Amino acid sequence: MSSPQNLKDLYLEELQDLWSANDQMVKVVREMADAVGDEKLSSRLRGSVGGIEKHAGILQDLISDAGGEMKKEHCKGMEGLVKEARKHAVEMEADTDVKDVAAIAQFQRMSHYGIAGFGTAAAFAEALGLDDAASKLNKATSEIYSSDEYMTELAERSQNLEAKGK
Amino acid sequence: MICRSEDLPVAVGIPVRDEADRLPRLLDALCEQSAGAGAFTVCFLLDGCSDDSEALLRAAAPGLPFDVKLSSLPRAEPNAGRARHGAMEMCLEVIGPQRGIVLTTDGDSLPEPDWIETTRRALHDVDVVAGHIERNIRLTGCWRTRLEDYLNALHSMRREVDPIAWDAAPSHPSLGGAKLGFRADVYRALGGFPAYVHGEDTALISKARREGYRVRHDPAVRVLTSNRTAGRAPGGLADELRVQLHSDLPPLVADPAVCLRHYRLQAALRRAHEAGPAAVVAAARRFGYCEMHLTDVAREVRTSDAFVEIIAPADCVGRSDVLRLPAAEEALRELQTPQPETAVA
Repeated sequence: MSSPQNLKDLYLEELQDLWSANDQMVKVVREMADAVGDEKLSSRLRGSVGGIEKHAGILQDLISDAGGEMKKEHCKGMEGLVKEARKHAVEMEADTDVKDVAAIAQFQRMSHYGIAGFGTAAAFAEALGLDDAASKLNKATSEIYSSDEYMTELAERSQNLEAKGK
Repeated sequence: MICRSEDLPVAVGIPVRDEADRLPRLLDALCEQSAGAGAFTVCFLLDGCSDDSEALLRAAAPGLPFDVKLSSLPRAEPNAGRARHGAMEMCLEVIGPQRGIVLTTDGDSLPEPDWIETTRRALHDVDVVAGHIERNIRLTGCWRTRLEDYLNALHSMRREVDPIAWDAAPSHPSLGGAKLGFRADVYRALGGFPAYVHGEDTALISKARREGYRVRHDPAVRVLTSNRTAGRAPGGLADELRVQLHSDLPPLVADPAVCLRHYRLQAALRRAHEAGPAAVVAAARRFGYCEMHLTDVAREVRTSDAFVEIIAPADCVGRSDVLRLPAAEEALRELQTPQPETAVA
């Protein structure tokens, strides 16, 4: 794609970037769900994949409405985060409690990248007068933002880890 | 050469943690296995036992009508998954590279006399069999019993809405490690039970389905299990049972209306995958998924069941959509009541 010339182009590029980010995140979260050492955390990560898939569906519709297409071209920002997540929460040989905390931390990083992307796209949509798109993107942002269960779990597990002297 | 499952070698893996008082009854139950069981080996993994479990098994082994293997782990923090994994590794060693069948149960369980025979039979047609756990004493007036009845009823509704050819009625929802059977090659390919403190059984069954293996929940494969409230690992079934036996507060369960919506979604995705790529794209549009994602997954999986388990696993049912058990029972009854047909003008 040529360089963006206006806000409409920026909006489409943001959506495509987000779609790629979601696409990459889904795959690594599935890997993390298989790698963690706790059944409940594994199940929670697997459940989160459903939410990410739904957000990818929303992005697909918005990209299509904006006259673009989804591209497998990687979002470089998420590519880096995914690489880190795979290194620390999938491939790392570590005590399972440590690995579980690492997995939550990596999930948080990727989610917050998603919040920034969806929030930005929502702001662009609002400025462009795309009310329906803005509403969908804001809803997705809230869904990611409000699921703070991972943060609670991160805090609890970190404290347990410290208590165990690990 | 084609081997029938009746001819395949069988090994049974049993993790044991301080269960000397229960083991004699388990050994009796294993001695009473029907002729259809054929020859089998029982592998006991002594998980840091500090009681007489090992002495008891060593003394009994020479007089038993099956081979016994013993191995032990040093005393450590309880971890049901690690212990069961160890017991099953012993089984794989017994079976060797040939085809075979591996089963697992618990030290506090009593397999019915036809347990191995019915498992063998079920493994003719599927890759993994989850038998049915029955309580040795059915406790009345406790939440656990009502919960099990409720989950059975919910499962029946699930399979009516979303039938699976190899898991046709009668089926059941139980997945506990006290009565699982695998084709040895399948167990090996799955990488064994994960080292989870608890929940290793449901996790492995879920993985088997995601990887396209056929799992049958067969009520003909029966194991009696105690109502023990001190288990091998914290957070497991025994802990759950203790809470439910002593609590006045009914347990929380997922809202059956939310479950029903999820079962319908799973059924639609299953049918779409069976119908082919165009139906998968249509399902993505209908349910708000990304077409490219669904198409990619549909291409990668071996079965429609794997497709469903990856795209819409049970874990997706909302954690906030919960009801107390009595309210859920009432809601389920309403869902099961046939609705009068609405007149169409």
